[in-house]
Amino acid sequence: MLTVRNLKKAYGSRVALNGVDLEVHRGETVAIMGPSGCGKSTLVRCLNRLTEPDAGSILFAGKEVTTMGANELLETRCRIGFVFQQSNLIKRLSVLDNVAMGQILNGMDRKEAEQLALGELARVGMADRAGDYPENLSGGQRQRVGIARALALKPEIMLWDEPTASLDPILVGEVIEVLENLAQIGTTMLVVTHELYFALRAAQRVVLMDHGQVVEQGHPQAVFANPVSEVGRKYRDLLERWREPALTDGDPTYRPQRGAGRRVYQGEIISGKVHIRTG
Amino acid sequence: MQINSADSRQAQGIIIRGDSRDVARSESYLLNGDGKIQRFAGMAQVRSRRDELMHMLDESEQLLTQLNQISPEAASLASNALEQVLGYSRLIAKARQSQEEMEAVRATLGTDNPMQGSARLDAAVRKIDSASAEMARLGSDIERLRTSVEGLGEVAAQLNGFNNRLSSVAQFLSLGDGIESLLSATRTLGALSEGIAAQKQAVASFAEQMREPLAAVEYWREKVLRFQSEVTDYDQLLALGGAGRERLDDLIMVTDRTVALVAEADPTGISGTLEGLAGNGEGKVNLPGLSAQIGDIRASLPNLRDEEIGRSVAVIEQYVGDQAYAGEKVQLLTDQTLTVSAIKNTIRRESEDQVDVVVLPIGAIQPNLRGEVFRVLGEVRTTIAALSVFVLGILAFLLDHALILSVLKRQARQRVMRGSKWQRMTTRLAGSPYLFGGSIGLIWFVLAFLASGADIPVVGVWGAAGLGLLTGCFFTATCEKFNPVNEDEIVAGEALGQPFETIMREIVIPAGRPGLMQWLNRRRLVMK
Ligand SMILES: Nc1ncnc2c1ncn2[C@@H]1O[C@H](COP(=O)(O)OP(=O)(O)OP(=O)(O)O)[C@@H](O)[C@H]1O
Ligand SMILES: [Mg+2]
Repeated sequence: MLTVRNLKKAYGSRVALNGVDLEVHRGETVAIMGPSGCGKSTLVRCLNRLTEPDAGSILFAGKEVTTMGANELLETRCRIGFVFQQSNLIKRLSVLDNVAMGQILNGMDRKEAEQLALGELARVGMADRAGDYPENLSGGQRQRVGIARALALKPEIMLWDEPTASLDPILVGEVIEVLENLAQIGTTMLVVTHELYFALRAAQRVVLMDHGQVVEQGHPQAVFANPVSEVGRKYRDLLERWREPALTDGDPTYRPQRGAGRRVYQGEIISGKVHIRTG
Repeated sequence: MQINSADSRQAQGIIIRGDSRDVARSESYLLNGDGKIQRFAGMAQVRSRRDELMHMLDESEQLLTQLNQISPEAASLASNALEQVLGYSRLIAKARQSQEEMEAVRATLGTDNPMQGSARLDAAVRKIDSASAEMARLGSDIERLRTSVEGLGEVAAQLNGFNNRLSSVAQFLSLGDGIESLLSATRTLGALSEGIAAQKQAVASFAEQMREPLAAVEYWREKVLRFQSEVTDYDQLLALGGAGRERLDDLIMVTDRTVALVAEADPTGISGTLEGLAGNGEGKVNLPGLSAQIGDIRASLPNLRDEEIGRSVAVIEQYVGDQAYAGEKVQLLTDQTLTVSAIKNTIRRESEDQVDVVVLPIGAIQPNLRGEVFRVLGEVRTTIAALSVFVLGILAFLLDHALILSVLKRQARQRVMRGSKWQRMTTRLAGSPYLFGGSIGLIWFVLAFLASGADIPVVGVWGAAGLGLLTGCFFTATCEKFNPVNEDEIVAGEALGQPFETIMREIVIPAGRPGLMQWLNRRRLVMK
């Protein structure tokens, strides 16, 4: 579905991507992890050319993205859903308009687009806030609207750039739940995240990056059990230190519980956001 | 209005707000403190010096045109008359000759030589006929000339009347530099109308002088014609006998008297005037040139509103107080040998107390105060116009262009440079938002500058261009502060696969500052 070969990008003299190879198969959920500044955001933004790569190739559904013309690029972007760290909603538009905007501007009938948008909002549990404006929503709610907006275009793949990074731990859960549901129904996803538990539980594959390169990848359980890279070892250490009781419990992940409209997560650690530094 | 003087029946004042051209009705009302109409005050009579001046200039121009139309006829009549006047002595000689011929015919009547008498009579009648006809023609020509010149004089008199008022109104208005041109025009006009009046006078007195001789010529001409009809040839003359002789005597007597009268008159005195009228004299006025000059003056009159005039008059009176003297001023520079009182006395005596004498210390300059005020007012107006242009330019940048510039700067930042160092540099330069910002600033400023007719003394059009360029670059550098673009929203639009125009229309412009661009964009907006 998506094949990246030797992708390079430098900002001036600072190298952000130094020859990245990556593959995402249909229906697969791939988590990208790595220390801050290793080039994760740059990588996902290069995939639909929100950032122009310097060199390398990106094959999406059999088409080369890096060399395609402007119109084809716009079409391709419509087929790639993108969820931002900050949700990036349009402030002057209502929640419903934000979600329906993509389809309306692409020429869909307004009624039809709004119907579809309401469906996607229901999927992320935001249908009742359709008439609200972004500024009146919490960070998690905004993020879920951002997800609905990306989903409304019926994308073939979803790219996530740290969708939970700017949320407080309690709000992370609502977003992670949406993410997991999408993974369960077989959405093709590439998720940049610091959420170890999400990677462990929902991803079929984890890709570890460092200094603009992929340093290790494989099944999350395998990678974190027997890391070969320095980054991998740091993740393993953290995981062991924090999750000892849960691991012995045989269930390393949280269990979502529904109650009184609020989602509560069980376990000692509600959010496993991990920031590690290398070098 | 500011009322300057009032009695029980009427009040006089000057307009301090608005313009007399705005006045549509002449009823006037008293206002109370809050500007509400209190009661009817009376009928207003508006007198605008500027309008008067305009009107007089228009009239003068029209009169000059009229003068220009009728003067060729007078000129041709005058040159005709001039020719005759110059040939007057020859005319008299001819009349004398015919007189002698007639005498000779009478002399033949006693003798018995019919052949000779017959030839003589024929020649004499022919001569007397042509001499009297020529003289009579002079008479009618002078009459026509007099009528024509009278017409000229009438127009000139009207012109003179306007001219006198023109120069007094012009002095009141103090037109600055324009006054020189206007005064020179009024001087020329004055000279012109005076000259025409003098010509009219000369022609009239000439006609008067020639009235008696010419009346005699007419009578003579009548006699000649009657004689010709009664006495067709010598035989008839003989056949008429005594009666014939009587007729001949009568004709000779009238001829004698006429020639004597005509010879007495000396018409050559008028030839100078005629020459002037005929247009070959010196100092001939160039009428079309003069009316063009007046047209120019009218066009260059400062287009001041009455309130501006009224306000400046008030200012002048406030600052100058009693020192403001209306009318002409003459400056006398004297040395110590003359005492002030001696000068004062002399001037009082000579001017019959019509001239005020004011003593000023040496070196005090008496500028044309009103003229100065109006000049400054005019300059200030254009300067204000120019300044408004700059302020407007800045506003336009703030509201609309800053947004475009912000987006352009973002695009330029995102652009990936490939190729050699030189290629990268030229690409960067050609795509530089500063190029766009600077050019827009330059074009906007220069166009607005030219269109508004603004004129700042030092700046000029090149200054406006430079200022526009600088302003454009300045705003390019600081545009994000005035009209930032929301990077996140733009990227969101891009991620949704929207083209640049759609992102501008749906995301960037609606989120920017309200302005012309946003207003124009509204009707194209899809996501309202
Ligand atoms: N627009 C930019 N201009 C210049 N340098 C940039 C730009 N964006 C990223 N970089 C640099 O490129 C490198 C990789 O950045 P990137 O944002 O991809 O890292 P990341 O892995 O997403 O980090 P984080 O986890 O903090 O989001 C960093 O050193 C960063 O400073
Ligand atoms: Mg990042």
